[in-house]
Amino acid sequence: MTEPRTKHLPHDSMHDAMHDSMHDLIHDLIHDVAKYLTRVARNLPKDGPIPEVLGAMLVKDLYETHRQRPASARFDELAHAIEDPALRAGLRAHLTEIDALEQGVRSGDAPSMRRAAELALIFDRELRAFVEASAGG
Amino acid sequence: MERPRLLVLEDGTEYQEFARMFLADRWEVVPARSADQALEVLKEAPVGAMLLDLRFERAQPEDLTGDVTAVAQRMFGGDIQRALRWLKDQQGTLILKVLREAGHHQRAVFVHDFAEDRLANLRRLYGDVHSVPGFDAVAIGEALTA
Repeated sequence: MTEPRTKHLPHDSMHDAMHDSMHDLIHDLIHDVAKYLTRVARNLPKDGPIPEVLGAMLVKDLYETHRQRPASARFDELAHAIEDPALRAGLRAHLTEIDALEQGVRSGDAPSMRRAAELALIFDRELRAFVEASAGG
Repeated sequence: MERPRLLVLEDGTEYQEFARMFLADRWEVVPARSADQALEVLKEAPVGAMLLDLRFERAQPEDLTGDVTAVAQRMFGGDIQRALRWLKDQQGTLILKVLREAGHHQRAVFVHDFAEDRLANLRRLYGDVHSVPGFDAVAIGEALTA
């Protein structure tokens, strides 16, 4: 029998409680929210109809982003890492608008899908700019 | 025309869905969720390149590459939970290390925003390594082949 690469351990149910630095939380925001939120948004055709299969992936990105929950839910768990309340509120507002578009996005309404994708990209850009500014400062 | 195989390493399905949607015209996507699975894939037939996630937060501990006890002792004062978290956070690079040591030196592309010094270090350790900050199909396609 092959030796396992790790010893068996109980599942880390305290996973999120283990984060002990703001740095980790910010990187969780990039990884768990921004990266997957923009997976399809970044690659939508510039114009014309949005293929159904792409729409289904977009739904998953926006509303089943992290453990089958919307990006906004994961953001709320991690957002205290962003000390600037105005930035935090601004980022949350983009996700709130994305959530409000859910019915249209799920039904394949192209304007709703394009607006949600646009908001996802704005969210990603603003969050990454914050990270860069934090690293620079 | 036969497409080269692209080994996609991740703990979920998001990367392979992305690759099948946006890269399938040039690549045959073959997924793996661990170093052992990747080695099996590579035993079947060679691949042209690898697309990797860095963080494997959904992986079960028994599927992770790395000795959690040793990491806990060496880096976290014996704290197993912090060591497990660290292993998950670095898992893509730890799997790449296993594959390189097994003689698989194909280009590796991470979808991750590595700092320049960290990417340089990865290249020093593992050779042909690239990174793209987000799921940009054009940028990833270029990184896989440039």
